[in-house]
Order: sequence, then C-alpha cells, then structure tokens
Amino acid sequence: MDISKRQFLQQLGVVTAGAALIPLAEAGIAFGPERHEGSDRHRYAMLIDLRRCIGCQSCTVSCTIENQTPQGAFRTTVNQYQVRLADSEAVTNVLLPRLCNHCDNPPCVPVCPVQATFQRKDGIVVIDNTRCVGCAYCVQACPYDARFINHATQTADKCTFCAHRLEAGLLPACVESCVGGARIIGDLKDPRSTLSRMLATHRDDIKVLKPENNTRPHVFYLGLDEAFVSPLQGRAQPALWQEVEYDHY
Amino acid sequence: MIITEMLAQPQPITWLPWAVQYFFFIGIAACAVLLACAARWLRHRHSEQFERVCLFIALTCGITAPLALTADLHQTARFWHFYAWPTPWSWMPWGALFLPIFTLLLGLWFLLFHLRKGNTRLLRALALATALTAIGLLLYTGREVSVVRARPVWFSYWLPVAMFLSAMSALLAMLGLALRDLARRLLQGQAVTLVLLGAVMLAWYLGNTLSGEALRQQWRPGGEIRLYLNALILLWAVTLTMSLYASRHRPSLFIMLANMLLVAILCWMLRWTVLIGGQIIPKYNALTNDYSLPMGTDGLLAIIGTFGLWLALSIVLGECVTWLSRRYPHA
Repeated sequence: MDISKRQFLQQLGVVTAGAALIPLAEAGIAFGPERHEGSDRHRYAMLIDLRRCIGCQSCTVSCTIENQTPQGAFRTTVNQYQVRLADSEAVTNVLLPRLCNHCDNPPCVPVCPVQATFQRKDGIVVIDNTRCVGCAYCVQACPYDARFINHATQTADKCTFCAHRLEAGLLPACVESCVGGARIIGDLKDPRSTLSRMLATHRDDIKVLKPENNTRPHVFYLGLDEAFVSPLQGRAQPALWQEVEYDHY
Repeated sequence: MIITEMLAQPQPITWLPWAVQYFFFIGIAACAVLLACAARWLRHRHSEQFERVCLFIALTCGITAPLALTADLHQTARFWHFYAWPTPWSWMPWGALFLPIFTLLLGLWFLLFHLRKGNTRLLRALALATALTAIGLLLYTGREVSVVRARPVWFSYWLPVAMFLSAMSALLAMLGLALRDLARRLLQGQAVTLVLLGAVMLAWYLGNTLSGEALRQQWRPGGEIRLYLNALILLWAVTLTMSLYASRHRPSLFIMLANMLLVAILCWMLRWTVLIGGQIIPKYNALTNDYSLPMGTDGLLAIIGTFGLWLALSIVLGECVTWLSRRYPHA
C-alpha cells in the first residue's frame, strides 16, 4: 500500500494522541470511591450475640482507653431499654451494643468531599484524619450515629474495628474486654472462622440495624427483637433523659 | 410492647449555625445574580437601576456566605484539601469549585458595571456566566443536603426548591425596600414566590415519601420542630398578607422595612428549622438530640457576627461606589 508522507504524518498524529491517553486509562480515573489499603483476602465483620451481653459497658470503657477518645465521645456504647408487654407487669431489659457497622455500601464514604474517609479492601471503613477537613458530612450521612467530630483533633472519628490491633494479630479492645463473649469478630471470607460458622448456624435469626437503608451493615445481631431493627423515635419513650448530658467541647 | 429507653447517647449537632448563615446568604446572592442577569438581558427603563442594586446585594452576600461556610469546617485551614483531592461524586466539593468562580465573575461584573467599562456583549456574556455559576450554587447547596437519606426530613427533592423560593422572596423584599419606585411590582413578585413556597411546603409535607412521613412525625404536640413549623406558617401568612395589601397601595417606608425584615426572618428560620431542627431528630434513639444555642463563636456570636460582617461589607462597598462615582463622575 502506498501512502503519502502527509497521510503518514496525519495517522502518526492520531496514534500519538491516542497513546497520550494510555497513562490516563492506567491511572484509572475514578467516578466513585474505590477501596484501598488492607487485603481483599479478608472481609472483617462482627457478630453481637445479645444473649451474652450483660450491659456492663466494659466495651465502652476499653474502647475509650484504647482509642483515647475525648471525654463524652464514644466509638461504641451499649444502649439500654426496658420492655414491658402491654398485658403484663413483668419488665425485661434489652441491651443493644452500637458501633460502626462497616457497611458494604457505606453512605459515609461517597459524601466525603476530600476522600479522607474510605473503605479498605477488607471492608473496614476508616478515616485519614490528616486529610479530613471536619465538614461533618459523613456524620450526617451515617444512619447509625456511629460517627462524631472528635474535638481533640477537630476531625471525624469512628470505630475502626481496632484495625491497628487486628494487623498486630490482636482482637479489638471491645471484643477483648467483653466479659460475656458477646462480641465475635472474624473473617467472612474464611468459612472456618467462628463468625462464619455462627452466621451459618443462626442464619434465620441474624438481624442488622435499619436494613431498609440499603447500607448492607456488617455488624450482625443475634437475639435482636424485630422492634429494635428500625428507629425508635415515636415508638419508644425516653427515660432518664435529664441525666444524659453531653459535653460539647 | 412498651419500650422505655433507659440509656442512650444523644448525637451532638455538627452542622453549626454557621451553616444556616451560609445557606441564607448564598441563596440571596445567587438569586440576586439571576435577577441581575435578567435585568442585563432585558431592556427596560429600570433595568440599570435594578441591576445595580442586585449586584450590590449579590456581592455583599456572596462575600459573607463563603466566610461563614469555612467557619463551619472544624478544620478551616485545610480548605485547600478540596482542591488537592477533587471528588466529583460528592456534592459538597462542587461548592469549592462554584464559589470562587461565582465571586470572581461577580466581582468583575460589579467593577465593570460601575466603571462603565466593557461593551454590552461582554457584560451580557459575563452576566450569563455568573448566572450559570449561581444556578450551580443553588443546585449544589440544595442537593448536598437533600441526598442525606440518614436524615429522612432532608431526603426530598422539594428541599432545594423551597430553599430557592424562600431566598427569592427574601431578595424581592430587600429589593422592594431599595427600589421604592418598583415596590408594587416587587411586592407582587414576592406574593407569587410566597404562594409557590407555600405550595411546595405543602407538597413536601403531604407527600407519600420518606421525607414527608418524617416531617409529619414531627407534627406531634410538644415537639420542638412543630414550634418552628408553627412560627413559619405564621410568618408566611403575615408576609403574604402584607405583600398582597402593600402591592395595592403605595406602601410606606415602615411597611417595606417591616416586610423585608419579616420575609428575611422567614427565609432564615426555614433554614434553621431544616438544618438545625433536622439534626435534633434522632436517627435511631427515642431520645431527641438536645440543642441549646451556645453564646460563643459556634452559636449566637456566629449569627450576629455574620450579619455584622454583611452590614460592614455593605457600608464599605457603598462608600467605595460613592467614591468611584465622585472620582469618575461620568462613570
């Protein structure tokens, strides 16, 4: 085939222009948040066996000591409820440990304006607090009240499943200190882990909070009544509210 | 089953009154630019006067708003992170793009307008470009809040519309005070926007949506949000009556001043109810998130300070314009 010099140069120009786009394609311009850090061979999750929780708040205390959260700010707490059936005088206690659900579809991640909060490949949602601007958009977007502004660092803060401890082969502080052994952390990708086996055994009784938000939470509850799955406002009475105070410093 | 919540952790308010101030001023600034752009493109004997006042309001509000916004960041000095890590899939960083372009174009437009520099085509193009960024601002501010499903009250397409209409009615009331010759027309415009605002709020409240349901749930006796809603309805009724009455007579300065203040309060209070009120509704607990306005920089001082800043800017800019017109009498 005979082509002129002009045609050759024109085509060369097209090829060169195309080649210039290769680095862009390799850089992988993202149109949504991507998971990075951690290993995709694991997917960490937690099962909370409510039958074993006694509401001692040792998880709350050990977490604040391990993670040095400011006074009045908690990465995990245990909510307490009293339940009475309408036709009965008997009262029973319901204890509900709360923490970040490390959702598979975390609403807090895509809203972050500077990508300071991200999901690791092992499913743990973390915050780079050297990048966080403290806009609190993620705090608003989390349906579980799992995030707060840490007024010591003036950045967003939350449970990390004690990722630093997991990497050192230790259990998260709350799991380690749970007196009843109610908190079980494990790897969903390992079918032999206690977590995977318990989830399989109790498949029909496992519940998550607010499933209607389509966040796909990865903190599972065993023994949670259906009444506690969705928000309680308008359906429950707050008691002792005057004794619950918050220091906003 | 009777559930009593014995122990729960309320969540503190994290979007502070600074955010309310930002939404108040940016809404008015964006609406003022839209009207100024319309005045630039439409030929009317009052066009120039109208454009001048709109530009003045837009620039003073447009400078105040982003300052209030950066104060709402808990790490204000890290604002440059918005540019270092662009994140197009989140609504918030669009503000970091639109805000500086908006203020820059607006500043240029203001300057060229007062110096009588630049030809009509250039000014028209500038007006159009600024109006586009204003639309961007109105869209991003509204969507930023209304995409948050975790706060059902916010999760509504009506929210950006209500924000826009309330800002527009506040702007028209301000213009009515400044442009007494056009007061009747402006009051009619105000009445129309107020009627539309009422219709939007009603559609939002009655809608078969998550947001509508959440809003109806707040209409319970003794609730703080119900108190705000009642105040809003009262303000809406009074301002609508005032605008309808005053547009048929020649309104006195006092009436126009009272009208402006009341509509501005309505516009501000709507933002307060949505943003601060929305945050006191718990996401899971039965316990309401308690909020009392602090006196310091995260509370009352933020509110007074921002209005003070706007007033100071208005005085400084007003003096600058007077100085310019004295120095360049033909300008």
